[in-house]
Amino acid sequence: MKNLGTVFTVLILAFWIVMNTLMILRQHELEELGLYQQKVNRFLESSHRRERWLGIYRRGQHNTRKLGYSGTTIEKTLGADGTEYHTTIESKIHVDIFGKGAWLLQRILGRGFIEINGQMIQDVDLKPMNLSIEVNLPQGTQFHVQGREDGDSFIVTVHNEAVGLPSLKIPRDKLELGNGLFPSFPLAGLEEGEAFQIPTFDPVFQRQEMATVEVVSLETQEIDGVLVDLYTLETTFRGTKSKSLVTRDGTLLRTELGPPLDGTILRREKEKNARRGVRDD
Amino acid sequence: MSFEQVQGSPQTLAPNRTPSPWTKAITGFARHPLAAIVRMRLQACRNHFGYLKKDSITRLLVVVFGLLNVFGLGFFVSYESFQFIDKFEAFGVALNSKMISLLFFALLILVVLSTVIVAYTTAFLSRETSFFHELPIRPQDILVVKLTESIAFSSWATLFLGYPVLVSYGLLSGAPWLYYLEVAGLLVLFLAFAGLAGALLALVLAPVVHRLSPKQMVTFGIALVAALGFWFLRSFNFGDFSGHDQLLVLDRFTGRLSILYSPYFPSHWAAAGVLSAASGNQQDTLFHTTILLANTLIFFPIIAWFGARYYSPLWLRGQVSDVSRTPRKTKSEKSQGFVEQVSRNRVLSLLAKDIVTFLREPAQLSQSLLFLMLMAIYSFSLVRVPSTLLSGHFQLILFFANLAAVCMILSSFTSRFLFPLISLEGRAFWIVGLAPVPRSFLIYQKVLFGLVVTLTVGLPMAVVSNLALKFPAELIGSAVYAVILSGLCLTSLAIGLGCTYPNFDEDNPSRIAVGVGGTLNFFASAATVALLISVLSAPYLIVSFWRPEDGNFLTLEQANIAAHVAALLITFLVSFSCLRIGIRSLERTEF
Repeated sequence: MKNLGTVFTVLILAFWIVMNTLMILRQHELEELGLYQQKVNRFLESSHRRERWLGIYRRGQHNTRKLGYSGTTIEKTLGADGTEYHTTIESKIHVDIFGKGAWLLQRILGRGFIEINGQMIQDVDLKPMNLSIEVNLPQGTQFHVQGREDGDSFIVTVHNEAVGLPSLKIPRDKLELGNGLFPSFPLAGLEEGEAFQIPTFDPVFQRQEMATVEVVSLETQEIDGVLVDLYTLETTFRGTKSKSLVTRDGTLLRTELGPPLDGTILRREKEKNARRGVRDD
Repeated sequence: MSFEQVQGSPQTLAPNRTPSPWTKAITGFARHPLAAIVRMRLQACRNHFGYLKKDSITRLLVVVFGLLNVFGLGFFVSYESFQFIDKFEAFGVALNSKMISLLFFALLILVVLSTVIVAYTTAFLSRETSFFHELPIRPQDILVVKLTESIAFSSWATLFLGYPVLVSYGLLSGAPWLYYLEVAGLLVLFLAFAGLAGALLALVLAPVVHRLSPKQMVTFGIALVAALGFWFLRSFNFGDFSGHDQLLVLDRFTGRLSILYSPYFPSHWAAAGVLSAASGNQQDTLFHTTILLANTLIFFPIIAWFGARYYSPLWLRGQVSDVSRTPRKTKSEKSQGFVEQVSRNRVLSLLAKDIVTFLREPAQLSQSLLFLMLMAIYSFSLVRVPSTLLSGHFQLILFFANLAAVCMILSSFTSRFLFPLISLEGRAFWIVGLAPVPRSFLIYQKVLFGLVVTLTVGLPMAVVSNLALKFPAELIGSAVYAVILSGLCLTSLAIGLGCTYPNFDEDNPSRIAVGVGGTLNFFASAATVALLISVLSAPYLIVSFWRPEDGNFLTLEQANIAAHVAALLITFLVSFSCLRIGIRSLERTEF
């Protein structure tokens, strides 16, 4: 009992050393990550689960028509092998959105909405671990897209009740999930002049494409009656360029697509409002 | 009595009666001097509650009701603020989470500063500490008791005000039920960390503070406050923006203050824990809580080691340096003449005694400096109010809101500094009582002293804040009038209730101020301020809601004059009755 004080001191000291070492290691691990992964972590700093709901509009000569919506939820969580990112996607996009190329798509897929629902799980480096997406095409055709890691590769298989397509083998690098139209990335803490190259998987065309994001400028603009610092991002994906307005903490306010999808706008909305007003003709 | 008679023969001692190591440990602790002090404190608490039961249950109910109101008001204000920010979809959610980080950052600084002051006063200057040093108690045990009390005193109010803020954040962000338990634990742990850090800082700074004269200490305090104030105002780009872009500035400020997000900074551990708990991420909450726990526990062996090795010599050095400072070897003829002149006047000599007693107490001095700094920040921050709020109905709302804020700050000031004045005379009150003046004279002298101090603090604040808000001259005049009246009411309340509920056994003014009488005084002061402001604002309310078809029996000017006269009558009524109660109570007190 005389040495009780010494025992407690040693225990406290050991506990302090262990916890602070863990904290330093965890921070070191974060600093070791690439710039893109660090920006995704900054995006999830204010909340471990963030949602992004966008209404998809097409500006015509006389009016603007709502042609779909896209909702993405990204959550940072602790899995069996450490930190994991769970990205859930829900999109409903009318084929008319594809503009001049829509007639071809309508011939192949029929007229109506493409619906995408699914989830991708990534590891701490944002490398894909698991992918499961369901794609519904206008004529009722349904595809199941599934992905699994296989050593240094990520194997994606697509199948439906009638057809089985050959598997796609892509290198297991960081990978983001597209929404079927144009991807938006969960980035925060941006600096002017920064640029990122992000491999993105498109669930409609079922292939991986490289997206390039560049932080063009930082300006103060009035949004909802108050002044906000906004970054302008220029994204290039499959030959289409876009301009997006993003806040300091990564909230995407608006994306305007260039040719060949010019006139297409993706606008921040609440979940309920995003789903509202999307109807079949 | 032989040894065998005491111990008993081996046959009479049954084997199962041999005390186990646990029994030995418990018995050992029960005999420990620390246990004796804990028992003493528990007994004091029991006596205190017993006294409350006998005296008046109503008083206790008033205190409980008041505290619940504070909790409710804290919740309401923070919920409304979070909801207001949340409406801005572009950055609302993120800004709210930054506000949580800012809250913990501010709490860390405030609790550490407050504990430094309270811990230094309690561990080195308190009379009870000297008494404990005369008893066969180990210095480290005295230090444990004193620091525990200091931390509890400097952080209980923060716990009471901080928890509703976290509850409102949880409700707004739809946090799971476990969040409310987790943040309660996190907040307690965080306050313990901040308190222990402040206590250790007080011990480390003690040798330096012992060497400083009061003048040097005040200079150092002013320099520190000025440097902190400058840094704070500069970080906000003070004066560089209008009301239109306040949220932008707040967003930039919280975004650029990188220390808020540093993984090695304690306030980040607590803030990150709260944010993780709100999003239901239990692993992350556990991680940050454990980091905070580990860094809190580490203070225990450090303070215990410091206490065993350095506390006693440090405390002794403090006593010696106090003595060495007291005698004045040389005095100029001029100052001697001044002292003689002062001592001839009864009021002046008592005022001089109060001022000298106040200046001699470092805790009083440092806390009043902090108070003045907060008041200055408040007054100057009003420059940023949007110009749209400075005309029409908004102007009047803002005028009365500012007036209420100034008077509430004054009520905190009188509760903290004037209420303990009578109690601080302590057991030596009989010496003052021997002066050839009636006891009522002493009370009037204290009221005069309190009123001068309160108005010296309150009037500049009222004028500066009203000038900053660019109010017209008649409103500034009305504000000055209201501050004089509330100053009189608050001073009379504090001195009157201070005489009615004196605590001559306590030498720590912070403790006196947070006692039952002090809390009662605080709520009575708040109610009086609310009454005065309601009366003064009544004419504008009546004019706003008066329907023209009912006809006007009073113009706004006439109603204003009536309201100002009514406020004067209320002031006289409150002041007279409080002082009467106080004088009666003090005259009946036996020493």
